[in-house]
Amino acid sequence: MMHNLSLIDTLKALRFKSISAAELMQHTLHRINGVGKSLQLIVDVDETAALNAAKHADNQLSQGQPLGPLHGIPLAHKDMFYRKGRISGCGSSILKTTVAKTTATVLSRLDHAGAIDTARLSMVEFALGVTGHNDVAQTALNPWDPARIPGGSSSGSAAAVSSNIIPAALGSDTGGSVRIPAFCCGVVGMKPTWGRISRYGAMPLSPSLDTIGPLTRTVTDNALIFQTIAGHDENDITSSKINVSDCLNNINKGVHGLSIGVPETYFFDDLAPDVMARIEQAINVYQQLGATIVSVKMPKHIQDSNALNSLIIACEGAALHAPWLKSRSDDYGPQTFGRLLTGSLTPATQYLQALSLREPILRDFSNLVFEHCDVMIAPVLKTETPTIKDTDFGDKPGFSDFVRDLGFATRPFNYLGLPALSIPCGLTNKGLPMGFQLIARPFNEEILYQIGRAYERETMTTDLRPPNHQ
Amino acid sequence: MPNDHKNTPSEWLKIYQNLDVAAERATDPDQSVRRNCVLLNSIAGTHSFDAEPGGFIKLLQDLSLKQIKKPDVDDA
Repeated sequence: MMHNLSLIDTLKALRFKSISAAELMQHTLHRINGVGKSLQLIVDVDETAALNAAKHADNQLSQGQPLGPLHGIPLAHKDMFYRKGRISGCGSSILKTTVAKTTATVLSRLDHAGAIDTARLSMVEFALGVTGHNDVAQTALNPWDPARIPGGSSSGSAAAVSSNIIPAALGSDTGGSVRIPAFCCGVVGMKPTWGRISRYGAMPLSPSLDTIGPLTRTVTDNALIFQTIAGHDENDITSSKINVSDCLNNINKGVHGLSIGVPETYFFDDLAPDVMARIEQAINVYQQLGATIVSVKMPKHIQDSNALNSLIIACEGAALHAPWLKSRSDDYGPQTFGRLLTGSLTPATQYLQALSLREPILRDFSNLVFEHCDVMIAPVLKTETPTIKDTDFGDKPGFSDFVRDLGFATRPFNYLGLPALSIPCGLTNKGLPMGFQLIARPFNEEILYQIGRAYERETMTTDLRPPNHQ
Repeated sequence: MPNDHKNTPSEWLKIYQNLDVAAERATDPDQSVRRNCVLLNSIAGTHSFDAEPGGFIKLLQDLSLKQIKKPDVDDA
């Protein structure tokens, strides 16, 4: 079936005309209206516009016109990337009818590459939550087990890719919101270097930390989407001018001669045995493939970077939401409101201290890790994907501890601004996906794809799909 | 409300402390604000808070070129 094809294989099928863009779109819309709606992943779909765009793509193909690298590919994204004239609800009640006045740079770049933006996908309210739960809009379900969390906040994006509705989707990652749903739904997720991908036209949560990244079924597909959207943008002055190399050039070069660091402390403390065993297997795979495994020390305050990241999110989020926190407090879900309120009560001195500490801690981390290895390996979650029942804390006392604990391994890399790639690494005894993440030097996403691809090619773990949605 | 411009520094301190505590008790059941304050105080002595010229993005760009440290010949 065409929905099982990777993005790269779908592109080949379109180029060689074994399928047409219109056929592909009809099939995609069938999946959207079936699987997508049953799993509560779809906020909205414009079927007529999508089919017309697909027919136009076929015409361009038949006329031999120059084609973009994603020509005719149906995509769908987290409902927080603005498109002029279209609603972007941001998973909220407050913005559910708000029409965007501009188009996000990432969407413009995908449009230019020939992709067809087909649907808006479910997400956590204002992207502020790690479980995927949404108190004010529909909650996306995990295609592997609807009793388990899909992970958040890019819950709909990860679940739609995992259940073979679309080959790729954009998400955002401020504390783990791409990597955690990628883990829970068994897909590949990239959290790029802060400043690598323009945030212009994307809903801000915490501008000092926000990043945008792709979720895909394979590492190679992820690299293709990444390099399509990465690079400097005049509309986002925080986007870096460092050149984006072709990530596909070296992606199959393997890991021989490269080194992978294993942190001595913090990240592997208190891991569930099955998570630990899977990551140890991954380390063994890399060793067998010719990588050098080295032990690396962690900076003294690596564990504090989790709390400091949460503090910055709360403060910047509270500042952005200040007018609504007063005038529309009843329109927020309790946990979103509780976390934002914490930010509004935090002294500016604490916020500025938390921001200032990024530089010395990043410098320490870089000296301890990247002087000794090319990438570092770390878990994403401590345990297998938890159940909705066990994680539905709302704003009860203890919820901030819970949120902090779930993002213990992801949030430090938002704080440090480093790129991290989450990769599936097999199933638990209960048949649930799990994964690990690789972390590289700033702006070195290319090596993450190369090392991630080596594991994927050897183990085929990215071929695993939810049994009921293949 | 106090008449702000007539308060002495010590009076200001009392107002600030009372507001801080009152706000925490009233609306911060998890005491995140208080705990963050303790955390930052514990780190403060170990790192300089001086911002580096060029800021965080400049540091990221500088570190992107960092290479793995090769053993010194003398160490071999």
